[in-house]
Amino acid sequence: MKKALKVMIVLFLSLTACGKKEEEIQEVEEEPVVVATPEPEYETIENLITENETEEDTQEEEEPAAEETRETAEEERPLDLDITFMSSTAIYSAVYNMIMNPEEYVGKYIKIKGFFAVGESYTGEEMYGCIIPDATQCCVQGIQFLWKGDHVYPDDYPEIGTNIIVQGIFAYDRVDEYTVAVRLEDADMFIE
Amino acid sequence: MMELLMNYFSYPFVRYAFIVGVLIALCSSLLGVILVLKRFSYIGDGLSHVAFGAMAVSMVLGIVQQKMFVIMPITVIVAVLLLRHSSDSRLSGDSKIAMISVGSLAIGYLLMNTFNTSANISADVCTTLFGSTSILTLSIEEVWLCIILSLAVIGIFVFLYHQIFAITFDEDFAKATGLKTEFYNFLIAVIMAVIIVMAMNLVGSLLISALLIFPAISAMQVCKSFKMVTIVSALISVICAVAGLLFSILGATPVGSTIVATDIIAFLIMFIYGRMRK
Repeated sequence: MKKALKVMIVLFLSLTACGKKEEEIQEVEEEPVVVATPEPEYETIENLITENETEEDTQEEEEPAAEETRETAEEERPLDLDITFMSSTAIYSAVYNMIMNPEEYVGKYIKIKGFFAVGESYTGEEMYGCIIPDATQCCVQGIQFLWKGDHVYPDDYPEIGTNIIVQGIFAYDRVDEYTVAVRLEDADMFIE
Repeated sequence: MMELLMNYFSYPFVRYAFIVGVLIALCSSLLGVILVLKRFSYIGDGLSHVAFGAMAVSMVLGIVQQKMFVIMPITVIVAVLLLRHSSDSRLSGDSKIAMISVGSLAIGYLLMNTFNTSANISADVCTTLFGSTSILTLSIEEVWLCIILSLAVIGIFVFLYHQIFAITFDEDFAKATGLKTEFYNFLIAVIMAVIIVMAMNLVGSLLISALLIFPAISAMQVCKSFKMVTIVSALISVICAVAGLLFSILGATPVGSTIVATDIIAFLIMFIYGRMRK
């Protein structure tokens, strides 16, 4: 049984929290800030991820069923882009490129992996995302996903910080000149 | 394994990283030989900190997309000032480097914190100082800029090889033979600044010195002539950059520090090999 993680990862817009495109972040700061109520032992992304790693055994038990569902979803529509084979460094970079050049990915059926997080979109609504940290875990990228079907948070969703795989159709909103909000629509979400 | 690598290389950002990584490694190794022989090993470190400070200034000014136009001139000016010989100066060369180095780092960090335009200062500092993933997030424009600058640096080195050789070993003699040493020192300063600014993308500001120095001193463990040291240094630098990039992508490690780690391993191998040959 997983411990309840009380960290609320701040998910804004494209969920970008790295230093390369500062204008994007600047815009983000003007949005209302999502509440973070960290427990001391889960204050950082490192702790979040470490916690996940210790719970891999539990997750593996759920894997066969998830695998079947995933295969079914892929049979319905073949993937255009699958970056789940990549290391976290490369996934981070791939998602960064999606955020920087979203027009190249619109409408593509994309599969990513990361960890589950809840946040607030630029419209102020609650949103669910897949977060990918870089190797040093000082930078994170993420993509919002819209899980198809009727799912209620928190009952149907995994614990925050759970390793997940998400596949869905890429879409984005251009919030302003420098800011884009990217998401996977009509998405399937599986626990890794 | 090959299939996995092919999958990685089907992504443009991975190809860009390897192209730029190889070019920067090649250029930095050429410059590294000159710096080590002229006993300017620590100048690269000082200038990389200047580049960090300049980048902080560009961020504060809101110049992000064209930050090179701020970083490059500042770094070039400081490089020229550092390499200029001034016998009447009250400050010695190493004092100037130390002052500029820590001064730029401190001012840069202060500016980033005081006038922060980003939500995540630690991420900005981390990626700029240690180059965690910046080489994997290059735009095509940055790749082309790097290719052009690298070709210019390699071209200058090849065409002016004899002049560079002369002022590297004996500047006074070179001056006596009529060589315009001031001009060539200026050229070296400009090249150094260009390479350092480019290399910030590969390994980050704090680790640039390793890229400049390790391949050159590794080559010097086994080679005697300037030409052979330059060639072996270039080979070591490129091999280490490629190996470091591959390892970091496959093993999910930070790019900059992984490349430097491979440079350290290469140095240890060459050091042991050099001792065994004696």
